[in-house]
Amino acid sequence: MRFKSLIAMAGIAAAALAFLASPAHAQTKTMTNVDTKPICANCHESTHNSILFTAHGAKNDEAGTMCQTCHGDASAHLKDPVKDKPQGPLTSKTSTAAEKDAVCQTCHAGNRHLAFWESGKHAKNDVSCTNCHNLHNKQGPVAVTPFTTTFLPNQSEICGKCHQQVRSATLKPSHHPIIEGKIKCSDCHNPHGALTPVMLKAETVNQQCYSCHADKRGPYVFNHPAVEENCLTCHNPHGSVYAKLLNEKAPNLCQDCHDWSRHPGTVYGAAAGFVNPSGAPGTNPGVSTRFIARSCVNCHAAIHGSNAPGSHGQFLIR
Amino acid sequence: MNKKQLSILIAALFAGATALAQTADDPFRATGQVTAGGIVTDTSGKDQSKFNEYQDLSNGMLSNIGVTGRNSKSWINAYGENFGRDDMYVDLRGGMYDVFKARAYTNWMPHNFLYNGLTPYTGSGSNNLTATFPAPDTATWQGLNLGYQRKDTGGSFEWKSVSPWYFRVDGNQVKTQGTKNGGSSQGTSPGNGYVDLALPVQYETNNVTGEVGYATRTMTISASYLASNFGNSNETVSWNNGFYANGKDQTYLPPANDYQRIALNGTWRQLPLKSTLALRYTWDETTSNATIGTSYLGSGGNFIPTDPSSATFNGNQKRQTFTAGWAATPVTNLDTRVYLNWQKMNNNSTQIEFADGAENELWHYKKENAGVDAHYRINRANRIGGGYDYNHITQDRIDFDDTTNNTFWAEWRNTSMDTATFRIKYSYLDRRSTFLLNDAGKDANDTLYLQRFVRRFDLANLTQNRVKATVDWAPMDSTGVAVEFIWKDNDYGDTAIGRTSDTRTEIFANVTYGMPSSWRVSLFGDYETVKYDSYLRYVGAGSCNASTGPNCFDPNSPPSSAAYNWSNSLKANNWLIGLGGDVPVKENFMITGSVLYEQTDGSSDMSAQNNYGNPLPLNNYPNVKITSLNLKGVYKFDRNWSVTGGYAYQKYQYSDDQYNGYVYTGVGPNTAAASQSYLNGWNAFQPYNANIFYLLGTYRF
Repeated sequence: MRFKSLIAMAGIAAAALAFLASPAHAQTKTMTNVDTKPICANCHESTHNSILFTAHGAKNDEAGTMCQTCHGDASAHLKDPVKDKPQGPLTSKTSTAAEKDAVCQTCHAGNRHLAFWESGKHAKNDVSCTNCHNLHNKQGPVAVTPFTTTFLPNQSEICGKCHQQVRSATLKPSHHPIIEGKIKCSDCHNPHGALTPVMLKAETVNQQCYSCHADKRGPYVFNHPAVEENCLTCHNPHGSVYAKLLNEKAPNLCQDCHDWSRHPGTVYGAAAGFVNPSGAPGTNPGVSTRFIARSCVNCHAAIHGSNAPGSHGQFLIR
Repeated sequence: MNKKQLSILIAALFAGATALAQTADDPFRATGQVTAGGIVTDTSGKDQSKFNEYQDLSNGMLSNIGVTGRNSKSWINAYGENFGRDDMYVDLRGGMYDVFKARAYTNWMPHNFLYNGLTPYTGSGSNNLTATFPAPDTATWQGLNLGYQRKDTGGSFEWKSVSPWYFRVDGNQVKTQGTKNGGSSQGTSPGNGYVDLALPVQYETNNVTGEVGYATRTMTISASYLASNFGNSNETVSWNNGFYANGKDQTYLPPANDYQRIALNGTWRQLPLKSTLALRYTWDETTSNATIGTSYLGSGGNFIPTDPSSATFNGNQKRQTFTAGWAATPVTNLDTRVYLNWQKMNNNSTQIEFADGAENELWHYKKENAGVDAHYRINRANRIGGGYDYNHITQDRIDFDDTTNNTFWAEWRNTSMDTATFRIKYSYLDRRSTFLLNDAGKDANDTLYLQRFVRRFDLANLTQNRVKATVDWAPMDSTGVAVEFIWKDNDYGDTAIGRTSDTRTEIFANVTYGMPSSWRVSLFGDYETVKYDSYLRYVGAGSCNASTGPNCFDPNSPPSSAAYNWSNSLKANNWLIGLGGDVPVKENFMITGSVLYEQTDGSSDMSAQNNYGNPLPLNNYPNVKITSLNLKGVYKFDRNWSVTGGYAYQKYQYSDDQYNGYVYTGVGPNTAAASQSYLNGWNAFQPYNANIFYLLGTYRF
């Protein structure tokens, strides 16, 4: 109830602030009427239409001030449209990523999302804003994905242009719902920069995972150290050919750490499956419950932690 | 947040933003589209949960609405799709320029695990699963579907009319309801069999974050507080245990927990040496409470007292992190970064001891990480970089308590050709950990002695080499070639028992070509090989005896049929190819299509001393083939009306030696009725074929 009350209070506060922020408060800066048509649109109409309903369009005026903010001074271009092209960093083929970014930072440097831009890997690796942001609805690569019920563009298509390894992983049989459009790359990573490795939004890998998988947070009476340390010890969040996004198949993954007298490191070969290795009909009498189906997790189902008392909890079997 | 509160919030935001802000000389103009139509699927396969894993692909209506509008003061951007379906999504954004912006959304997602399964239990999905064992006749079992529905509803509000100050609130509620697959051993020995259980999922997570900040071109500071609460309606589930005389056993489910976090961020730009300083501090706490079970089910259906040293468990973990990063350009063309990460986790949870000797370990850690990297642009076409990362971890694990990672890397980036970029990066990691079990066990006849040789790969000494090379060539708009190669080798050189190495080789290629305002084509493919090598020892249960031989827990002792070493090599070869394109057949008729094929050949090869243990290789471990075809045509009647028709085909083939020949019961070397296992079919019958047809009409305005 405490949290519901908090959310309700937040909602009421937001509504009150919305009321306070009524038109009287909105006159601090000049925005243009939606019918305002910049001179640039006389030739570049579709380009103008692509930003018409965006904040970029709202900041434009009849002189095309917004166009020139990004594309450079167009006074010569207006006199001789063919000979004199605007030569801003965004259109120059020799400008560096930092030079291109500086154009965007002219307005966006104070954006809270960009607080750690300079510390992030994208800035360090010459990724510019326009590598990801498609301001004028320019056609991107053709999407090659299985059918999805969403008609929204998939963010992972943008990220996958560079991160091909990740794109391939998301197409594997066991994956987070990334290609289905239910999870975005930016749900876990901050592409605009972060102080964390791989630009995670949370401080640690586990805190990031717990933001959706709150049931794994515990704290449990009995924990699994590898789980508490790093979910990635066992899972590949982008996708895997193995069920549950595991890095390796169980029991192999488990046996890489656990070789103990109760469960000695056992050869689970074809002789341990349901099928008789000899080809004889019927269930294999040598079938092992520690190999088939989910393998170790058949019994140790509380693999992420358990509150069961005694050895039942210690061995994560209840 | 209930529907009433949500609707009040939305109404307040968008009424203020549009109706009140509109005047005759500043009209609010909007554009958008409304789409409606239907989807029909024709599928085959026993368990089609994989096909429906994250989407609602049932026959029915498809729809979406999108509206974008603004005037000089306010704007909205609203989108919704799949109304009334299990994967509905609605996203409303709006605001007033430079005053505020707000968002409200709901995002639904199914997560299906099993269709057409079987279980001997009644009451699946509840906290009481009832059955009488033995139950060998599956004809008397219950049908079972496993899956849950996740509904994430929330919003945000950011007020910035007093810029550079801003205030922001985010809140959401995630409700997850349904079932998921669980299981349990019946007795305490693997020979006692196990049961699959349909566990209830009735989760609710509420999150709210408040943030206040001050953001300018040269400085950004902020403070935020997050409170999160996770609730589970069922923290235990009871089930009949056939091995223990059909007594009621109990499995413990995730406990309710509370999480709170304070974060302080600061960035200062345009400092001396063209530098930026970024600092971040966080403090968080996770708590849970549980009543400790005073007994558990045992032989004959009798309950065994656990005699916990504390009747309740108060889980409490506190973490602190501090991060500092200083990015500078001390001289022209030299970019540097120095960073520091410090983390500490204190586990103040209740220490509990039980009568059977079990005792919980309160794991905690401290991590110190620092590093430096630098990039130097030799000239406009060449840039080199290098860096060093130091990471030191101290913790209280039983096997390792002190770990140091040293990572070095270097890279070269070349852009000699205006249209092409080449990059190669090499990194080397050396990890050294202090191993605490060198004296485990009193001698080689003691079970614990084997632990002297086991190194868990997450902290074992490691040498890692990694090479990554990329080529990007874009000779013209809509045309490009990208190739990426990755090789990574992990060598756990000091590991006698455990994972000894893993190697990954991957190559990816992507080619796009397009005629401006005409057809486009995209082709990509990849080939990956992954190999995990391990070395293990099998020793029959108990202490050394006549069959296992003396010193049986020493891997260097002579092998016997009951005590021997063996090695395993797990491999997966994956390849994938995708081709997509679109063709404007006529000015008002566009066809888009793609085909995707992916194949995995998984295997496991084993060899053992004297061939003990009958190490037969696994050749379907797993083998997977996925074929997807996606065709879509869009015909525009005029600038307002269009129709979209589509056909998609998916074929999923899955073969796995862990499931081939699957049976629901009668499993295990122990044929005693009480020791039988009872399975539910999860993951066993995954292959499916699916044909998808859809037809949609769209009106644009």
